[in-house]
Amino acid sequence: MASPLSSILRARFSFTIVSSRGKVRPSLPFISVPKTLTRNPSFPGIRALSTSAVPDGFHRPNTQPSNPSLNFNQNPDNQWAPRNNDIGNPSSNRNSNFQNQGYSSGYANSGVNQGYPNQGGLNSGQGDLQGGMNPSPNFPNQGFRQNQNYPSPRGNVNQWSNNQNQGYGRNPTPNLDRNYPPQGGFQNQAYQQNPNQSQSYPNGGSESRSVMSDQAGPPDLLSLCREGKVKEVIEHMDEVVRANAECFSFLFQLCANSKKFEDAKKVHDYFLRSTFRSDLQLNNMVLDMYSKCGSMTDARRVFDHMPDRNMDSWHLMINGYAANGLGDDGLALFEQMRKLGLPPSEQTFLSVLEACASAEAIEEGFIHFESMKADYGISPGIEHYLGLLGVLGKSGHLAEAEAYIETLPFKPTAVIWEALMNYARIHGDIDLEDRAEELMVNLDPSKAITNKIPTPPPKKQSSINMLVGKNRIPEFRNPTLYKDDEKLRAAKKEQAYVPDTRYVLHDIDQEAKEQALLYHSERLAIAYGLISTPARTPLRIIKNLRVCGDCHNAIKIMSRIVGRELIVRDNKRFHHFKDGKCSCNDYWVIGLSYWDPWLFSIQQSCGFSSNL
Amino acid sequence: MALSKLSLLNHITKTLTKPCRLQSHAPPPTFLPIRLFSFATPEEAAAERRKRKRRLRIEPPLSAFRQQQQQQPRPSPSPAPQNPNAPKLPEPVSALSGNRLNLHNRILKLIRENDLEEAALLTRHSIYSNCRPTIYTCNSVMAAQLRQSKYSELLSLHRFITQAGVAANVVTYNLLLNVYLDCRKTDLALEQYKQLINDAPFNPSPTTYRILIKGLVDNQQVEKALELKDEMQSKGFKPDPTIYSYLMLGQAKNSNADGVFELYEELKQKLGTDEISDGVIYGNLMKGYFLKGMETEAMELYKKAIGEGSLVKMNAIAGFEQERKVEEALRLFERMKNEHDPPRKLSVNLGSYNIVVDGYCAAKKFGDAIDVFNSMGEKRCSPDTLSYNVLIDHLCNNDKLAEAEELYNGMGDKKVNPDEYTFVTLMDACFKENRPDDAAQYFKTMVESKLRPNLAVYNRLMEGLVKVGKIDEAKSFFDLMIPKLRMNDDAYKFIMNALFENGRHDEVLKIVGGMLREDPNDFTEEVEEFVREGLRKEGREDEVTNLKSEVEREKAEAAAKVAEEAERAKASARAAVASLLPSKLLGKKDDEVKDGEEEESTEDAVTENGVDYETSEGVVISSKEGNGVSEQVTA
Repeated sequence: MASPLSSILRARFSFTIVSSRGKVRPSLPFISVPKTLTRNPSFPGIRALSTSAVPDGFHRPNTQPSNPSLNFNQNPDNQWAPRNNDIGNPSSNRNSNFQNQGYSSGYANSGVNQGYPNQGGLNSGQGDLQGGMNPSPNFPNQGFRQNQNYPSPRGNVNQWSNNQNQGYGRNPTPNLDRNYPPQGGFQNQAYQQNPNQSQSYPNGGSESRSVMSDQAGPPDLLSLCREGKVKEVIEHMDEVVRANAECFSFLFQLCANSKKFEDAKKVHDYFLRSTFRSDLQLNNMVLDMYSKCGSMTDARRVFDHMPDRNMDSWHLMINGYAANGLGDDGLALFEQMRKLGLPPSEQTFLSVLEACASAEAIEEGFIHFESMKADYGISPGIEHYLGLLGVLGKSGHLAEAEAYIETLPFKPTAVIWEALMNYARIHGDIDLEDRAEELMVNLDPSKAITNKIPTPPPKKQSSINMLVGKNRIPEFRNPTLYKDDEKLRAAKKEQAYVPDTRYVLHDIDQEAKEQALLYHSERLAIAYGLISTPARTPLRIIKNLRVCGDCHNAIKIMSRIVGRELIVRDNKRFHHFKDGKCSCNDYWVIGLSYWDPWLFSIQQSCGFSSNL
Repeated sequence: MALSKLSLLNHITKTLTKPCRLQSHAPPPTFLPIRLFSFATPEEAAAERRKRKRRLRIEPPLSAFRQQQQQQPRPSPSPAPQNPNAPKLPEPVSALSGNRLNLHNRILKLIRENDLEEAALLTRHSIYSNCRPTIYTCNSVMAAQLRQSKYSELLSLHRFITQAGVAANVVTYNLLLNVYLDCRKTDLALEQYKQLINDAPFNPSPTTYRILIKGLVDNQQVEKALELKDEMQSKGFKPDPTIYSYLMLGQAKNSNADGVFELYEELKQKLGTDEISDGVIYGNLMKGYFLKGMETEAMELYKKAIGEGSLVKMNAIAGFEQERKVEEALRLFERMKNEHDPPRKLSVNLGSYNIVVDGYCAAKKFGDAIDVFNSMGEKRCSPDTLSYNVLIDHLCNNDKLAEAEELYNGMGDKKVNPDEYTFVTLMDACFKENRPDDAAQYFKTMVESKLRPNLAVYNRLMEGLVKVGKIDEAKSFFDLMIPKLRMNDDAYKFIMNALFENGRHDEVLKIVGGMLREDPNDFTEEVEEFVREGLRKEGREDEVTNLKSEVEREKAEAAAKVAEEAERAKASARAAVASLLPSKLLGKKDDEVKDGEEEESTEDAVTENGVDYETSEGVVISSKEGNGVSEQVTA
C-alpha cells in the first residue's frame, strides 16, 4: 500500500542525489544562517544552536546554496549542522525509509572497490576543519546527533568517499571521542582500530580488507555476505571469525530481507560481542532488522539499551510498530518522545500516521495532523495527506476517506485517487474502486489498467432507483421455497458432526470420550496436512490401523468443508473422501453402527480393550 | 405524477450532495474543515482507546507495561497471560501480503467475472489451507454478494468465517448491518449493532450509523433512528448532515413537518453555523415547507440554493412539486444531464431517469418514456430489474405489449435478469391480448429460470389456459408444478374439474394416486369428496377406495422391505466383526499379525507431504497387542 507514497519519495530522493552531486563545496560562506533562522523563527529546538556555534556557521553554507530544503541529508558535513534536519525540511529524513532499497541495490552495483576510490585524495582541509570542531562534541541531546549520512545509499560514491576521508584524516587516535559519530561508514570503525595500518594504505579498502582478512583468517566474510550466504557467514562466525562493521551491516540487511528471526538473533548476538556494539547506525539497522523480522520486543530491547539514539531510531521504532500491527505501542512511543522534548519532524509525523493507521486510531490521526501544523509549524506535504488518508482507508472507513478527499485544500492528484483505489480494493468495494480508478486515469492516463474486466452491474440499485414501494414482487413470488428445493436443502443439512463415542472403549465420562476422539492420529495428520498445503490439493494419509467409525464420519464431513479429496488408507482399504462421501460407501461404518453389547462383551472378556 | 414528486425531491437532494462537494474545491466548504474532535489531546484519545481494549480484556501495549515497571520497581514481573476470552483483533492491513495478497487478487478477479459462487467457495476452501484468506478477502466476497443481493450466501459465508475464527472488522459489521436492514430485519440489525458496541475491539464508523439510521428510516422506525442519532452524538461523533437528511426524510414521510424543522435547527446549532452548505439538507427542508403548505418559503429556499451554483437543480424539485411546471422540470433534467460528467461529477443517476420516465408515462407519452429510458446508457447509468419492470408494467397497463416485449428482449443485452414481476406482468398482458401460448411460454421460462411464481399466478395461468380450451397444456403445467408448488384444494379441484369435463377420468385418478403417494395430506376430505362426486357420475366411485387401499398396501410393502434391509445389514456387520474376532479370541495368527503390523507401525500416519506424524502411543499399542480393530491414541 505504500506504493503511491514510495513513488513520490523515490522521485524526490533521486532528485536530492542529483543536486548534491552537482554541488561545489566551498561556496557562499555564512550567508544562509539568518535565512534559515527567519524561515523558522519559532522552532523549538533552537537552543541547539548554542552547542557548537562555530560548526554551525561553518557548515551551513555548504548546504544552502544548492537546494536548502532538500539535500541536507546528502551533505557529508551534515552531522555538524543537525538542526537543519528538523527545520522545515520535508524530504530530509524521509530517505531513511528507503535506505535499504538504495543501500542494497547501490551496493550491488558498486562492486568491491568503487566504494573507496578517492580515499587518499580528499584528505586535505577537511581534517583540519573537523579537528577544530572536535573539542566540542558534547551534544546536549541525543536527538541532535543524527543523520551522519546514515540513510544515504552506498551507491552514491562521492558522498561516501568524502565522508570516509573525513573520518580518516581526523582520527589518528582511535578513542578521540566515543560519541563521535562514526563517519559515513563502517570502514572507519575498522580504521579506527588500526589507524596506522589504514593510513599506510591510502588508496582504498581493498588493501584494508585484505588486512582484515589476514586477521580473520581465510574465509572472506564480506564476499560471502555479498553473495547473501547468511548461513555460511554465521557458521564462520561460530568459528570465531570476527566480522567487520560493513559485514554486520550486510548481515542485518540480509536478515531483514529474508525475515529469518533465528538468523537475526544470532547475528545480533555476535554483534553484541563485537566492538561496534554501540555504533549508532548499526544499532539502527538492528532495529530495522528486528522490526522486519516481526519481533518488536527485541527491537524495543535494543532501542532501550542504545547508548544514544537519533531521530531515525525513533522513526524506525514507530514504523516498526506500525508495520507489525502494534500501532498502539508506536503511538505510546511517540508520546514518550514528545515528553522527552524531542521535536518531531515531518518524517516523524509520517511514522505517527502509519502507527495511527495500524492502530485504527482515526481521531488521534487527525489530532496529530492538526498539532503538526499548529504546534510544530510543519506544513503538511502531500505525503501527510496520504498518510491521513491511509489512516481512514486502512481502518476500513472508506466513505469517510472519500469524503475526506473532497475536503482536501488542493485538487486531488492521481496519487490520491490511486491510494483510494487501493484501499477500495483492499476492502472489496468494487464501485468505489472503479470510480477512483477512473478519476485517477483521467488525471494520469499512463496508469490505466489494460484488459480490465468490466464490473458486473449490481443486481439491485434500491438505494438510488427511486422506485421505493413500486416493487410488486411480493404479489407474484411464492413466499416459501418450492417443495423440491426444500427437499434438496433438507438433504444438504443432514451432515453435521456428532461425536460417536461408541468407538471410545475406555471407561471415562462422556466428555472425556469426546475429547479422546479428537486426537486420533488420522485427524491430526489431516489437520497438519491441511494447514501446510494449498487449498484444493488432495491429501493422502496412510494409517496402519483401521480408521474408526467416528473418524470416518468426521473425515467425510471434513472433505466437504475443505473442498478437497482426502485419500486415507487404513490397513484394509483406501477411502477416497470427496464431497462428503466416501468411496467405500460407508461399508465400515455400517458394519460398526450395529455394534452390539454382545460383541462388546466378547471383546472385553478377551482382553481387547485392556490397555486401550 | 403524484408519486414522483416526493421521490424526485428526495433523489435530487441525494444526487446533489456529491457534485456539490466535488465542485467545491476552489473555495473549500465552510463547515467541512472544522473537524470537531471529541478529545482535546492525543493522550486522551489514546487513553480512551486503550480503556476500551482493556474492558475487552485485550492487553495494553507492551510499552505500557514497561512504563509501569519503571515507575514501581518490579511489582509483577510477568505480565498477565493473554486472556483466552478476549475478542480477537482483526488482522492489520499488513497481513495482506505475499500469498494472501495473491489470493485476494485472485478472488477479486472472480468477483469481477461475477463468479461469486466460486469466489465464496474458494474463500471457504482456503480457510483450511496454508494460505488463509484475510478478513479483507472475506469482506470483498461478502460485499460482492451483497451487491448481487445474495443474502443467504453472504450470511452463510459469514457464519463460516466466524466459526473458523477469522476476526471481523468494522467493514464486516457494516456489511452485515446492510444485509439485515435490506431484509427488513431491524431487530437483528440492532442486536448486531449492540454486539459491535459491546464486544468488538474497535469503534463503529460514521458509515455504520449512516447504514443503521437509513435502514431504520426505510423500515419506518424513525423513533429508533432518532434515538440512535442521540446515542451516536453521545459517543462523540460529529453531527453528520447526511444522517440528518435521512431523519428529515423519515419525518417528512410521516408528515411530521415540525420534526423536520426541529432536526434542521438542531443540526444548525450543533454545527454552529447559520448556513449549511450541504445540499442534502435542503431538499428535505423544502419538503417540510411543502408539508406545511408554505410554498413561498420553499421557493425562497430553493432560490437561495440556486445561488450555490451546483444546487441549481433544486428547480426541478419545485417544478415537479407543483405539478404545473412539468415542462420546466424536464428542461432542468436536460440541464442536469448536460452537467453530468462522470466520474468527476455525477448529477444524474438511475433514479433521475426513473422519475422522468415515470413522469412521461403518467403523461401518457410512452414514446418519450422509452426514448429516455434507452438513452440512460449515454450517461453511464444502467437500469436495474425494477426500473425495467415499472416501465413494462406501465406499458402493459396501456396496451403497449409490443413495446414492452421489445424492452424485455433488450434486458438480456444489458445483463439484467428478469424476475417474477417481469414475467407475470407480461403473462397477464398476453392473456389480455388473447395470446395464451405466449403467456404460457413466459410462465415456462420463468419456472425454468428458477424463479418461484406463487399459487395465484399459477391459478391465473390455469384459468387462462382452460378458458381457451387448452386442457393438455394446462395439464402439463400442472405436472410441472405439482412437485414444486404447494397447492390448495381449489387448485386441485380446478384441474380435476377441467379433466372431468373433458371426460378424462383416468387422469384424475392418476393425479389422486400421485397425491396419495407423495403428499397424502393434500388429499383432503374436500378433494376426496369432489373426486368421488365426479366419478360417481361415471359410476366409478369405488375406484377411489381401491386406489387408496392399493397405495396403503404399497406403503406397507415398502416399509417391510426397509426393515428387512436393516436386519440384513445388521447380520452382515455381525459377521464382519465376528470374522475379525478369531485371531484375537484364539490368538492363532497373533505372530503373523504382529510381524505385519510392526513394519507398518513405524509410521503411524503419514501425510502427503511426507510429514511424519508419529504418534508413539499408536506404535506401542499396535506392536504389543497386534490389535488391528481399533487403535486408540490418547493424548
